[in-house]
Amino acid sequence: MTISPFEALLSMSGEYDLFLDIKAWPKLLFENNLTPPVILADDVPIWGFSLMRQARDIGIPELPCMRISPAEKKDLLYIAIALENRAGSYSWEERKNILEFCLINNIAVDDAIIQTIEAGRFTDWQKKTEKYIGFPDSLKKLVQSRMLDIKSAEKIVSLPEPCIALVYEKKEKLTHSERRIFLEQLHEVMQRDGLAEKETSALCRTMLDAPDPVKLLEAARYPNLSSMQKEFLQHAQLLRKQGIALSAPDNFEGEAFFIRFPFVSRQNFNKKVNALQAFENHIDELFTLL
Amino acid sequence: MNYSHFYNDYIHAVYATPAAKDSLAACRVTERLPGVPFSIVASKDDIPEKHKNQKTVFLTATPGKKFGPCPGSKRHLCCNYLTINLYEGCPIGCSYCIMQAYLNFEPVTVNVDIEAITKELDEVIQSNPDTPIRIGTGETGDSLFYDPLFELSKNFIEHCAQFPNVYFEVKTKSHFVDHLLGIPNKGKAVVAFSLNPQEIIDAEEGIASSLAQRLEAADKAVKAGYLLAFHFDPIIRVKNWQEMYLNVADQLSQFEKGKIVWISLGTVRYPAQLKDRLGSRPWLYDEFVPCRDGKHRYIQRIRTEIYRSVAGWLTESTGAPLYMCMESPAVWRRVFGKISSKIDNLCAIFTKVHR
Repeated sequence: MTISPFEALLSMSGEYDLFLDIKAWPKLLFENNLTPPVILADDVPIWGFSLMRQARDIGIPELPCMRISPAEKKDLLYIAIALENRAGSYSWEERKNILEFCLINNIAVDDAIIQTIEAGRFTDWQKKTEKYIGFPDSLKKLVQSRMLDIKSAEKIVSLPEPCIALVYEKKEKLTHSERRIFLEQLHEVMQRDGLAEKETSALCRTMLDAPDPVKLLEAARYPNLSSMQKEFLQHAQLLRKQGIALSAPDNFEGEAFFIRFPFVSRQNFNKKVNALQAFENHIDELFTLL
Repeated sequence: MNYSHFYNDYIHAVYATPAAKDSLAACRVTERLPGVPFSIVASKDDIPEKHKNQKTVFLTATPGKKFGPCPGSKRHLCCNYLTINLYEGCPIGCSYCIMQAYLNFEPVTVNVDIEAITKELDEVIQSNPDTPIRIGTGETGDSLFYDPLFELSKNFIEHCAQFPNVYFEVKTKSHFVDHLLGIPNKGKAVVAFSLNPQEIIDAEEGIASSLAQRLEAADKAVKAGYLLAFHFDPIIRVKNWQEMYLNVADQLSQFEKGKIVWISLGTVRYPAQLKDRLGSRPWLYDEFVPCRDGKHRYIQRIRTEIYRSVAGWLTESTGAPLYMCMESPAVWRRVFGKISSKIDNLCAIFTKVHR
């Protein structure tokens, strides 16, 4: 059978309208009645909201439709998720919709439901989804748009909303992993220094306006280490000018520096040895870094 | 000590394997905590989910390695300590405890098969008749928190007392030493206390005893004939840390010189993958860097400064041998001028035991 108009159905019940309009169905399928049927139970649409919206938007008046016997809401939810058939790729907003549907209808979120939603093993599904629901809107937006993973979002949840909104706004300034590091370090600086919302937001803006926000924020998060790196760089540059490479152990964790240089003649060798002798004046300063 | 009053708050269920159910430790717990349910299970896995937490005690006598060298830390100097896993897990709840992150949902395991452990121990002692051997039970749990209830340390103290080269060490953040005071032959048993300034104890060390209680217990122990040791591990660089640690160091001058056999130092550290599980403690916002064993520590220069200061204060107040736990050769050289094997009064501590 076919149904029309969609407006009535679309506005009739949004209870099962759980999924985002992810899939774009080709117009040709609509024109030839080849789309999957919209599913109705007790005249309530269970699945096919996205199809109906797309049909409406492209001016298709009718869609195939199938009526099924009335059933428990839990079974109807299974049917809707099974027909949506995107296990493992639902967004957090869709997970939120599913969880809220379950909670409103007293449906226990058991392993069977979770397995229809997630492709593999997913621990603490309900807990994580509840956490997402509790996020401020700006953070939800960041997670929903896959700009930040849920685990990192949990860590920085107490960052002021303007900071998160700003990071979203300036999304092109940071890669995915830079964004995670930036937000975590901003959160740590806020906690460490007891910054208020206004101060944190100002810091966030200053950092994001800089050419290299991650580097600048790292210097604020690790002031000692970054000043040591700066100091080391000055020494290294002195030698580099003479064609000598100076290297330090990672994070200055160790007891030896290394120097390396190429030489092409006795004269060239002597020049480098002289440069090293002159550098001896800086050796004590260098060793204070370890 | 009023067992039922105190331990009822920390033990809500006891499970024992068939092999452990008739042990002396099991008899003691059923007699001393009559209101706490006692059940038999084939293994730890059979403990019901609702009891898989640190308010459950699991008694086992299952064969397996319960004695061995401290695992140490890759590319860091190891003190060749031998450990007995007598109590595995701890209810004290220190914020910095890595074990807590691992074992929070695990019952506390008590290995009651003392005979099997002492047998393993004897083999090592007999192979090293002239080597100073340090053995302790404080690696996987607090040596004394549950000990007044189970009285297991007593067996080891008495057993080790017959060997003049063996230092048997119990290490604790509690002040529960009274049950050990009357043991007649203590040999070279060492009662050791992990110490931190009271401000850090309050903020980070859960239900541990206060500094004053620990020092009072140390006083009782030394007066009863025990040797003492102190462990400043982890040292945490909080605001005014110098003043705080100096104050603790000063308080150790009350103990007679020579009675403190060693003091260890270690700054706070954590494996990177466990950072999230440590929560959001203020000390985590300090500057930590990954070290060569994968653990995160304060920057080497900062650690060195901390160690030099604390070691200086402790040397002045106690004159006891000092060593650092899980530190790199570079830090050893910067703090003590040389590595452990070149320091005379550390030979007894660092001599390798053949197994």
